[in-house]
Amino acid sequence: MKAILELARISKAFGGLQAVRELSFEVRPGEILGFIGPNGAGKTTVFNLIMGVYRPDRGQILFNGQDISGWPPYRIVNAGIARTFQIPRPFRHKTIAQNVEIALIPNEIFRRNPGHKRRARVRECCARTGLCRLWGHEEGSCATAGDSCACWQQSPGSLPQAGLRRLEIAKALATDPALLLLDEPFAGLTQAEVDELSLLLRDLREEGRTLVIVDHNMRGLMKLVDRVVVIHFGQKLAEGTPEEVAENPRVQEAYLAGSAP
Amino acid sequence: MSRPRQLRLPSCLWWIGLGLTLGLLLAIPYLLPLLFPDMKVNPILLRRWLDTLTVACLWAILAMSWDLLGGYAGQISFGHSLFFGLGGYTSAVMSVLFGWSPVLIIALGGLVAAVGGLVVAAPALRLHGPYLSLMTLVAALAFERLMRWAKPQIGIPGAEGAILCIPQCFLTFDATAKYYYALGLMVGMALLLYALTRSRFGLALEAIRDDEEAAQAAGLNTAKYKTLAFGMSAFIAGLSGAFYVYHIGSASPKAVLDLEISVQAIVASVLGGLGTIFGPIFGAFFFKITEEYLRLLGALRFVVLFSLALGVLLLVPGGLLAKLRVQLRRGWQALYTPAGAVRNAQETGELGVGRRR
Repeated sequence: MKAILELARISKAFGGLQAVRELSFEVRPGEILGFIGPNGAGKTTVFNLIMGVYRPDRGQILFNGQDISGWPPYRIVNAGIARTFQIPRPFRHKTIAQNVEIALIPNEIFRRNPGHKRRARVRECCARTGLCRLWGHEEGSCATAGDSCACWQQSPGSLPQAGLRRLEIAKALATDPALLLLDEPFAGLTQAEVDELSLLLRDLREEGRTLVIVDHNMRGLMKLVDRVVVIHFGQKLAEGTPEEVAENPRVQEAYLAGSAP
Repeated sequence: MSRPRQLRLPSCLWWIGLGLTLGLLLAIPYLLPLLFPDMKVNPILLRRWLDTLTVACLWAILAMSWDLLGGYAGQISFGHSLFFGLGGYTSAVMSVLFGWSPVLIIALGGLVAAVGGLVVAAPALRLHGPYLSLMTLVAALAFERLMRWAKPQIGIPGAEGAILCIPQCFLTFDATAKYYYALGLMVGMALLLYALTRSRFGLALEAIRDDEEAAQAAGLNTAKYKTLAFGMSAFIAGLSGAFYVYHIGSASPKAVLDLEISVQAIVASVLGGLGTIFGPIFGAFFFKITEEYLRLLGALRFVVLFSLALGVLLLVPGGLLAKLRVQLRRGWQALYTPAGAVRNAQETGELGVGRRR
């Protein structure tokens, strides 16, 4: 099957630090790929390279066969890749709904883009990601409750950690991405919240979206992901199904000399 | 977990307040002689106050334009005097050379300033925070020095690059009419900016201010939006500068390019409340009227005025208008809800208290 995203021997150095070295891997359409590595392995750097925040020193990034390296971030987002941040970065002075709405603003100033259509899509994204349920609204009620939903009045500051993660996903979802990059979506969540979020992520895959999930360990990902790519010091260490990778001695070595990842 | 519904000030109150303020501003030329019998006896006194209010309107336009760029887009410019001066010099030069209608020339002043804004924006896009501010400051300084050096020989050349363009750039001797023209321009710009900042364009600017990288991740072309904010802000600042030259009858580095103009615009914005559009109007009027009141103090008045501004910045960092809104909201809540509900609404970290940063 043709890859939706292909990284071909990309390298990136910051001064003397080689953050990513000759890294190649591909993401297949419709899969959930785990992208793991110890702290400081370069996972977030790779995300930033894909999103156009950094430009790779060498190598190519192909999205649907098109070389996107060197594109500005907004162009990459509009082409169909979205990301969430490791530490949620909401727009603090806007309401939750406006946070999502920002992702729906077109870059063409004079393009017709009526507010009610944007708001309908905001409702959809808020309901989809379960943001409304946080206030005791029924699943999907935001779609009908309209602007009385708390999302339209509360600031992101009122959200718990799990809510902020959902908001990140709602913002990413609003751009209608084919490929969604999630940077440690489970960090700081309770097991119950992890299970709930996993359900949402599976749902998104069912819709035909492709997901790449970064985490520094595999425990939470084992059941969720189809394949795993492990990187260490900016280089690919292993690739395969979760089981294969877990048994890989090099991977075990990378994680504190033998302790299971 | 269910949370109590947040209380909002009914928006009709807001509009009523705004309407009353506008009514007051419209009635001022007739109210002043009624309130201060001195002015009835001494028309020069009335004229002086009307001129003060005219300048206050223009300063309000300048402060609002600064607020669009600084308060909304988060691009802190220390060099708005550049755009003000570009507009002002355009007025002086064009009125002397071509003598077109003031409306046309003032609009042209805005356009020239907008071009200046776009020129400044191009390198400014690569800079952030203090570097950006410094760049705008140095650009304004450079243009001021250029004018001092160039000493344009147009109209009646004054010392140090001044252009006296009376009578070509003189709007009218009627102080009341001039005040109404300035007020009209101010109200027009306030409405324009209000609509703009509440549109998706304003939302995009606020996203850039809050977190530029996150705004890019949301698919916004931040460079484009910032450039537009620069151009728009410069355009409006240019209009106010162009009008100002029609008010004073000359353009000089001291009158339209002085860095203190930039500082006053910022102080007025922050006094009234950043990111509110109406706040800067409040701040500018407060600033200019206090300045006129303190006239007796001579040069000392600026010491007093800036100390006063410092005090407000320290005590009410969110701005006076924003503070007033919060107080009104508290009062409204106390009137219409039992005490417990008020506490709840405050604890939930409601929005809306500030569009401030």
